[in-house]
Amino acid sequence: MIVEEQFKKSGLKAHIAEKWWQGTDDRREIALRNVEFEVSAGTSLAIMGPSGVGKTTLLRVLAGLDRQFTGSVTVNGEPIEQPDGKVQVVFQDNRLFDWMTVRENVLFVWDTPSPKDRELADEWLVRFGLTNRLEAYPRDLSEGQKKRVALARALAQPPHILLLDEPLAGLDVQTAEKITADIQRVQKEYGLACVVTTHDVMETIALCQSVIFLGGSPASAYGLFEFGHINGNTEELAAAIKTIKARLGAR
Amino acid sequence: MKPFAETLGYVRYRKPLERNKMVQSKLAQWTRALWLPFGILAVWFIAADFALVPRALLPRPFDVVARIFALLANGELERHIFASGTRLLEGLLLGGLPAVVLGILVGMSRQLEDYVAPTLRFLTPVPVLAWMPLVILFLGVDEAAKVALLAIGVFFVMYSATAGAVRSVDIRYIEVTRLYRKGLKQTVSRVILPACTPAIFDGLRSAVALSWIILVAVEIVASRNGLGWLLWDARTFGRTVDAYVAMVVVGALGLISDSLIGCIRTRIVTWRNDFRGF
Repeated sequence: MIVEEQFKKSGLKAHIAEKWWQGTDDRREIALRNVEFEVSAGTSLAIMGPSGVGKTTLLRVLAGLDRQFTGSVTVNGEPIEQPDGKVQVVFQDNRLFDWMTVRENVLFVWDTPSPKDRELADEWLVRFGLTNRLEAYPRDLSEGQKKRVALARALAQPPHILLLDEPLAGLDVQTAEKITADIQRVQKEYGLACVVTTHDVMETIALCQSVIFLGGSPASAYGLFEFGHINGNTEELAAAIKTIKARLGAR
Repeated sequence: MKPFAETLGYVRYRKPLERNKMVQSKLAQWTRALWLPFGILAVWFIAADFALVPRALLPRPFDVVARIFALLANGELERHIFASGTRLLEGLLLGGLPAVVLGILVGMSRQLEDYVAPTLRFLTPVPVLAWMPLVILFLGVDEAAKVALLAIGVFFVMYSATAGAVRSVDIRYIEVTRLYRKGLKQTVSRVILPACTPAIFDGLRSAVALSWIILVAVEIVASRNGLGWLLWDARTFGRTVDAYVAMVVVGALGLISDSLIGCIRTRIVTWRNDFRGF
């Protein structure tokens, strides 16, 4: 299989001392302060916090899209200074190009896709159950299908780290379950490190093994909680939910 | 769940029709389109035939049609149409192509915008016809002057449309191009240009409509052929019928050119989910 060999096992380390927004009048508004965490290969970390706390801002910093911060983001010890393909993002709004078909959206990642690249793109799309939708435009897709195309695009050039911004927000329960399974499978098979932002406790437990919380003003990270894999053990599950809910409301 | 608009009861969602139903629906659409022109024609017919308006001012519709055929038969109308059409196309190409290129460049580069845009914003509101004396002084009264005036008109419309379109590309798309480390060439050809295509077509549409207006005006001023000349010649020699002929022909050609652009647009922009009216 082509896909397998290209993934590299990597971890991400982030230490953001201060992330600010530059105002027009030279005033800096601090958005994040003291956010520090680490994700190792094959594991996933959830970042939880209320809407508007700065979760997406944090993801943009991790991806190298935003340089207005002090501190460092490193993948395997190498700093991320601009988007370099090591860290890839699936945005909450998917950001598929409306004028490209499903296949073209995935092929976008290559400047001039080779036959092998085309094969790889199709392979991902088939994996995600989009076999019949290769030539469809995004407007004709359901939200779940769009999410899968966005996933396929992010994985087509295998990243070291995958950032998922509210991956299940706005999806119905069944679709959310399927996408959860898709993401879990990719994580397990390729040992990908993921960072998932969410405000949903169940999403956190389904997709991740640990969680940190963002809160306060300016937002900072607190309350790292490692719960590991919870496989159907209801007592563990209940305890984890309780802890997460307690910490979520702590600030 | 029913779509919201449908629950309100005034939307019928159009299902794909069978072939003969499709023909029927097209025919119905044409019929609806023809009501108004036939209505106007009827009023015209009554007003002219019963001489409610002096015949010298308002010829009978039949006379106009007969004159069109007469002018077609002796090849004169074709000559005018060909002359005007050539000018129009030349003006569109000469004004439109540089406008789209410059519009994209200015849209892409804030620095270039600083250098160029204020001047263009200053020149845009200057009416094309105000350029006429200057252009005639420089280029004479020949073909070049007419095409140049058309090109000037087209240029400003298309430039504004294109530059504006580039700036209204969703910044989130640009972020995606950064994530996938796309260079300028890839960003323009795969994201900016396709995203701007609908707006560029809308600009082209306005530009063509404007071109017909400019065309007739410049042909009135100095020409030996073209539909504007036909119109002005009719005025000079008091041939009212010819004036009506010119108006009808310009209208028809304008309609055809506009429909043509509309057709090409729908062929190219297949991906949009535009509101098509209830």
